[in-house]
Formats: sequence, C-alpha cells, structure tokens
Amino acid sequence: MSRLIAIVEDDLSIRENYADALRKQGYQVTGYADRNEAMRAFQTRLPNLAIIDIGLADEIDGGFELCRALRGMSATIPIIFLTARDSDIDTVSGLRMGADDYLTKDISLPHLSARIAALFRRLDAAQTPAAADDILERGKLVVDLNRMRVTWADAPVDLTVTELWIVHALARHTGHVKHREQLMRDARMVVDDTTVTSHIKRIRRKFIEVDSGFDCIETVYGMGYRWKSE
Amino acid sequence: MSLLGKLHSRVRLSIRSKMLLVSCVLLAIPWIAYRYAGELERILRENQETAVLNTARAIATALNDRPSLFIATRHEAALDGPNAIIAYKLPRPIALDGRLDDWFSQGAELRALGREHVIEQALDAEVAPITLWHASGVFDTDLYAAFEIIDERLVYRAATHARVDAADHIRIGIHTPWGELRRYIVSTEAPGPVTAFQVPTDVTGVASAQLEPRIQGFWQQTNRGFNLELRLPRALVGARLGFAFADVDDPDSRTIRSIVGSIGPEGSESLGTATVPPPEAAQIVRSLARPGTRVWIIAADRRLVTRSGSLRAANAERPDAAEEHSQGFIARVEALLRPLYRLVIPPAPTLAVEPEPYAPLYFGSEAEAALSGRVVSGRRPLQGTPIEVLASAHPVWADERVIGAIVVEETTEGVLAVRQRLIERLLSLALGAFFVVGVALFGFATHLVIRIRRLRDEAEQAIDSAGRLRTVTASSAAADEIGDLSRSFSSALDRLAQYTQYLESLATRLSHELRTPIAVVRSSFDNLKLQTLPPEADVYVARAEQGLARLATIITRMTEATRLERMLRDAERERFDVRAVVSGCVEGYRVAYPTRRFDLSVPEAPLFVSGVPDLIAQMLDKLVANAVDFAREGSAIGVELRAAAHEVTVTVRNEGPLLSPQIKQRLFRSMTSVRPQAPGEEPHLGLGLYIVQLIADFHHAKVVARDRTDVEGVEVQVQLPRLVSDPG
Repeated sequence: MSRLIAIVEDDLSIRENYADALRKQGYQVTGYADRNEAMRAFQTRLPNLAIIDIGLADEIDGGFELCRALRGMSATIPIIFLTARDSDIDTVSGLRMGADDYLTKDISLPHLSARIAALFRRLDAAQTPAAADDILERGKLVVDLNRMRVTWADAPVDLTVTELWIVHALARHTGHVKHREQLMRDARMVVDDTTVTSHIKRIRRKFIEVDSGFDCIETVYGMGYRWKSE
Repeated sequence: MSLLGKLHSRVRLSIRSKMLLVSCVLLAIPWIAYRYAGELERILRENQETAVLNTARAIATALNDRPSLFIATRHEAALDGPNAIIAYKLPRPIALDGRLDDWFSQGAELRALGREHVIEQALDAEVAPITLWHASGVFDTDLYAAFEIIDERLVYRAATHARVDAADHIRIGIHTPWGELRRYIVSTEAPGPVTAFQVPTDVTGVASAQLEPRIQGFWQQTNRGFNLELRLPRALVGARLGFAFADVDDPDSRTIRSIVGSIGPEGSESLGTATVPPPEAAQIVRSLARPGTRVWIIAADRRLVTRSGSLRAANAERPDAAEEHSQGFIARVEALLRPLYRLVIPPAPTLAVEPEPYAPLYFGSEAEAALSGRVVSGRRPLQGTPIEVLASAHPVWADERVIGAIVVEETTEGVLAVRQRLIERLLSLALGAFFVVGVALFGFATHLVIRIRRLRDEAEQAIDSAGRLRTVTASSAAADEIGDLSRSFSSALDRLAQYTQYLESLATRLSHELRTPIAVVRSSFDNLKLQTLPPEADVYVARAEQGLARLATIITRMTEATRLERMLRDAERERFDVRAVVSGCVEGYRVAYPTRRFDLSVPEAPLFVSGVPDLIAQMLDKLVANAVDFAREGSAIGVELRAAAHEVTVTVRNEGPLLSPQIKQRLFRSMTSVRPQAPGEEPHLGLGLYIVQLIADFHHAKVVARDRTDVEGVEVQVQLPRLVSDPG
C-alpha cells in the first residue's frame, strides 16, 4: 500500500505541482488549501507524512497551529514545513513545534522528494536492524543513515534531517574543512551562509545537551566548519 | 547682486545682533528729548517774558498816580542837575577798611564823576587825568561814602607842611540841618584810618584846620590810586552834600592841579542834594519783584530814581544745585553720569558777575520807549555767554502823563538751567529705558537663539550617518512657532521614518512574496523535466532554471540585511581572538579567490575582543569582496590587523579607483552601490557595506573608508574596542 502524503498549501499551482511530482514517485497525495479543511481530513484519517505551509489563506501562522494539532494526534508522523518564510525565528519555532524538517520554497522537487524519502526511511528503519555500510562511526558519534538517527556516546541526538545531513557531511571527512556552500549542497538546502551558521549553532547545542564537553565541530573562520576527532 | 545683498552675504548677523540693532531705535529717545527740551526752553522763555512784563506792569501799576515819588526828585534834580547824590539805604553798616566789595554786595553803585565835573584845573594839567567814583549810603544814624580815585601820582601830606590841603585830598561840603555851611578836608600822611579836618569856609582859612572826630574814614592805597571810605553822622548832614577830589601831583610845590567833584570851591551853591530814595518805591519794588530780577525806576528825565535787586540773585536758587543734594537713586546715578553728559552737552552757563553794576543811568532803548508811553520787551545778549537779559519796560502814568518808567530785567540763566536739567533727566531716562529694553531684548533673543540652536542641532543629527532617523524633541512642548516648527520636524521625520521602514521591510516582504511564484515556476519546471521533452527544449529549460537561480539569489541577498539585523538583536557576545578570525578568513579567501594575491599582516600575540566571531568574519567577507571587486588587475589585497592600547584596527586595502566624493558620505548606508552592473554577475544591491556598518555598530566599532595615500586605491578601517583585561 502506497504511503499517503498530505500537502497543506494555499497556492493551488504549487500544491498541484508538488502533488503531481510526488504521485509520479508512487505516493498517494492529497492537497488541502487551508487548515480547517486539512484538520477535518486528518480527523478522519492521518496521512503518513504532512507537508505544511506556515501561512495558510488568511491565517498567518495557520501552519504552526496545524503542526501542533497534528503532533498532538501522532508523535511519530513526519512533518515538513515548506514555506516562503526563511527567518530564523520561523525556523526555530517550526522545529520546536515538532516538525521534522523546515524547508524553504526555493527547494527543487528532487531535493524535496529526497527529504521525503529520507524521513520515510527513518520511520522504516526504526523497525528494521541497521545495515552496516550505512553506518558512520567517528568515535562517540554514530550516524545511522538507514534509520536517519544520530547517537553520541550511545545517547540519541534529536536532529532534523537537514541537521543530520550537515553532521554527516562534516563527519564523513574528519579534519577536512567544509565550506558553507558544500554543506548547503550536502544538506540539500538553498539558503544563505547565515542559515548554515544558525544550523551549526543548533547542532552544537543539541550535542551539548547530551554531552556538555562536546567540542567536535570547529569553526574555521571565513572558510567553513570541520569535524575534529576527539 | 545688489550692494545690500553683497553686504548681507559678507556680514553674518546673528538674531541677537539684529535684535540689538533694532533696539538701537530706542536711541531716538534722547534726540526726541533734546528736541523737546528745546521746545520747552522756548515756552519757558515766552513765559518768562510774560512774567517779566507782568512784573513791570504790576510795579508800574502800583506806582501809577503817585507822582510824588517822581516829582520830588524831579524837582530837586532840576535844581541840582548832575550833582545830586543818591544815598542808598544800606541793610548793613559798612566796614571802614578801604575795600569796596561790601558796597557792591549791598547793591550800591559807584557813580563816576568825570570830565564834566572838573571844577578847577591848572593850566598845564592834562585833561582829566583823574577819575572819581563815589557812592554813598545810609545806615541807621550814619551816612557812608565811598570813593575810588584813579590817580597815578599819589602825594601824601608831609609832616613839614602844616596845611592839610597840601596833598591829595577829598573835600566835603555840607549844609547842616541848621543851615550852616561846613567844609571838611580829608588828607593823610599815610594810608590807614583817617579823620577829617574842618576848615573854614573861606579859602584862606585852610591853615586853621581843626580835627573833626565825628567824620572817620579809611584810606587804602590801590594800584590805580586809592580808595577812601568815610562815615559821617547823619545828623550833621542837612539837605545838601557834595564831594570833590583835589589832586596834587608835585610833592615839592604841592599845588593843586585839578579838582573833580560835585562841589565848588567857593560855597554852598554848587552842593548837590543828598537824596535818599523814596522808601515806598523800594518797598513796592521789593514786594513785587521776583528773585533774580533787577528793577529800575526811572524818572521822566531819565534819571534813576532807584534800582533794586540783582540779576545774580537767581544763582542761589539754581535748580540743579538743589538737585545735587537730593538723595534719590536716579539723582545719584545722574550725578555719576553727569561728567559723561558734560562731554555731550555743555553745562548751563552761570552768571559770574553782575552785569552793568555801576550804571548810573539806564540808557536802554526799552526805557526810552517806555518813557514815550509804550510797553516794550526786548532781549540783549550778555557778551561772552549764551545768557540773554530780558528787559521789559512799562511807563508809569499820572494824569495822562508819563512820569516815569519801570524797567524789569531778568536773565535767561534759570531757563537754561531748567533746560539743562531736563535734558539730563530725559537722557538718563532714555539711557535707562535703552538699557532695560536692550537687556530684555538681548535676553529674549538669547532664549530664542538657544531654542533654535537646540532645534537646529537636533535637526542636523536627526538622520545619523547610517541613515537612521531620530525624533526631534527640542521645544516640542512649546506652544509657539518654534514649538510648531519642532513638531513639524518631528512629524516629517516620523513620516520619513515610516517610509524608510516601509522601504526596509519592502525587501523582506518582496522576497517573501516572490518566493511563492518562484516555487510555482520551479516546481513546474521540475515536473516538466520529468516528462519526455523534445531535445531542443532542454536548452530553454536550462536557461529558465538559470534565471530562476539568479532570482533566488537576489531574494536571498535582499533579506540578508534584515535577517542580520534581527540576528544581531539576540546575538550572544563572547571573548575571542580576532587574530585567529582574520588569519582564518584570509586563508579562506586565498581559496575562494585563487586569482588574487592577499597580503596578510597580523601581530604575534592574540588580540581579544568581545563580540561574535562569525559576524566579524562576515564583515571581513564583505570588505574583502568589495576590495576584490574594485581591485586593479594583478594587484594585491592588503589585510592588516594592528593593535593599539585600547583598540584593534582591521584594515582592508586595495588598489583601484578612488572613492567618488558624492559617495563618501553615504558609503555605508543601505542601498548604496557604486559599481556598474555587469551582465551575468551577481546582483549588487549595495547592501555589503551596510552589513559592514551594522556589524561594526554591534561591536561598537568605527568604520572609515578613505582614499589611500601611498597608491591609488581605497582602504577601509574598522576600529574595534580591545579587551585588555585578562579573563584569567
């Protein structure tokens, strides 16, 4: 049975374009123009993944409300914000509300489908044992690409998909400096340098929550970041 | 340009100076005062003339129909002619000391006996070489007489000569009340007290002279001759009296050369009438005359009946003499200022001496006119002073006949003094008013100027160097035009701020609004690519995607500054080594711009500053990107880090075009770009240096861009405050 993806987006063209593209990849897609319509449908049946725009019709923060409500219904359902709003505040609030990823509308369809696939993979991988070749181990760090999970000294680090890709890109070549542009490419983001900076900041914080002595991501000023082995 | 315009452009007058200039209009007050004083003087003169005339009229009216006063003297005058002797009624006794000033102070005059009074003269004598002045007066029971003799050769009585007349001597002839004619001679061996000798009436009897102790006198030699004062008991003198001076010039022969006087050598026939002025007339005059007034009563034959008063008496009541003693504040200030006034206005003239004190007769034309029956007024200047003498003459009538005339004289001295005082007072008031108004205007102008200056300063700084707006608060509460102006400024700035805010948010909103259609286009293309397209379509799809990518970049850049501002608001500062940041960044640039050469100069020791290292790196990115864009082909980009005691200076240099003057001021403002837009390049929105400014402001740093002095090029300096204290 194919997975059901809900797209909540008030712009008909975008909604239909995304829906078309995803359908072609074998997903079942339903589109909703506003929050009420989506909520009604979700109460009947939860989708397997939701792509939500923040501004919905006349509700500026309708997407946030919807996300909160959806997370209330299911703790595991993957939620992606796909929005035109790129400010840090919006990103942070979106992710705090339990979204798994926060993407801006600059993203191309192949990137979007890669994200979706990754999220589903993480969902699936939770049930199946990990394949060895998809696991990256750097000291205390373990990046399980199958499950889309990161652990630090066996403790799970709750990263979004974007953040996971960044950590993965850094850790794959320890000691190598990764430019912001490279990281953006690896993380499949189309955002500016400062966004990378704030992502790195968040990643550090998340690791520090697990281990206060964490100091593996080093800033190389003017160039980028590198993963420092302990 | 007009002359006034030129002047105006050259001389910059402040509001205060202008107000002071305007207040100079007040200086017209002293001028008005001066004109007013002149007018007042004219009125006072007219009044004085009227008053003088009224006095003359009053006296004349009082004397009208009292011919006895005039006729009596007239009768005797006719009898005696010029030999009449007027004895003044003296208020005080005369001191017998030979000095005549006590006579003058009592208003008496000396009467001259000149050529027409020569009685006897030696054949070889010069014509009238001597002059006799005399005056006489009555006090109580005594008759006084004074003589001023002008004689170049004085001959005193010699002890060897027994004759009392063998020297210069005064002869006195008296008709006693009992009808006896007596003759006396006064001569002396030396100046000093003298006593008269009575001589027999016949000529030969001189030798048998005997002392008359009742006639005392004092002989005082002067440089022109001698003065003699005599005192006779009134009881001795009857109706007639005469004096003469006998001059002896040769001390050897001791012959009399000439005799001058009102007395003949032979007998009583030639003695004059001793007339005491009628007391009623004097009393009337005294009761009607005013101080400072001189009154002449003239008989119809032009003979002076009496004269009283003095023109100088007014001196005692000089108004400003009284003023000088007053204690008022204004008076004291005036007394201080008076020397100043003296420089501008000459002091009021004062009468030093009584004019015409000796005049035996009044010969003025006014008297002539009055004696012919007319009432006249006239004025004559006193020589050497601006003072004039006013004279009014009025005839005295009796039975349709003019029996005499009254002449009243006054000087304009009092009027001039009043005018003087008026001018001084008005001048003081005007100066006071000028001072008070000037101070008030100056204070007011200062107050205005301070407010306007504050407003101007605020208005000047209303837009700071980064183009941010502040509100104008100076005078904003005042309910006047300056308050209105400041409120207008404030509201204009508010509107401007709103507009700026709108413009600033426009970028964010625009980028947000554009994202959705871009997403539509992009997703459409993505879908399209999944279709099988004719091969020639690929190139167009590729171009469309290129365009999309550029659009996306534009949108990202547009929001960059806004995002940065938002980020700065909640950025956390940390202590970091700026040297590491700069070195690291330059390493990165060497990679990022492989065609460029970078000259890095950093000090040995770490340099700590407080801030966000990422931001510093970002700032450096922008500066270097800018430098690279403008650098001449093949030239090096210089990045230098220098440390001073309290600051760290980061300098980025490049060789290339200089800063254009018009851009210098607003180089670091938003949306300022000087580069020509080249096709295919990344778009320039002029936000790079604005971001530099934002980051610098966040770090309390100063950014300066200037032309290089060593080569043609530009350098940008960022001065960061240095953390000196060691955290350890």
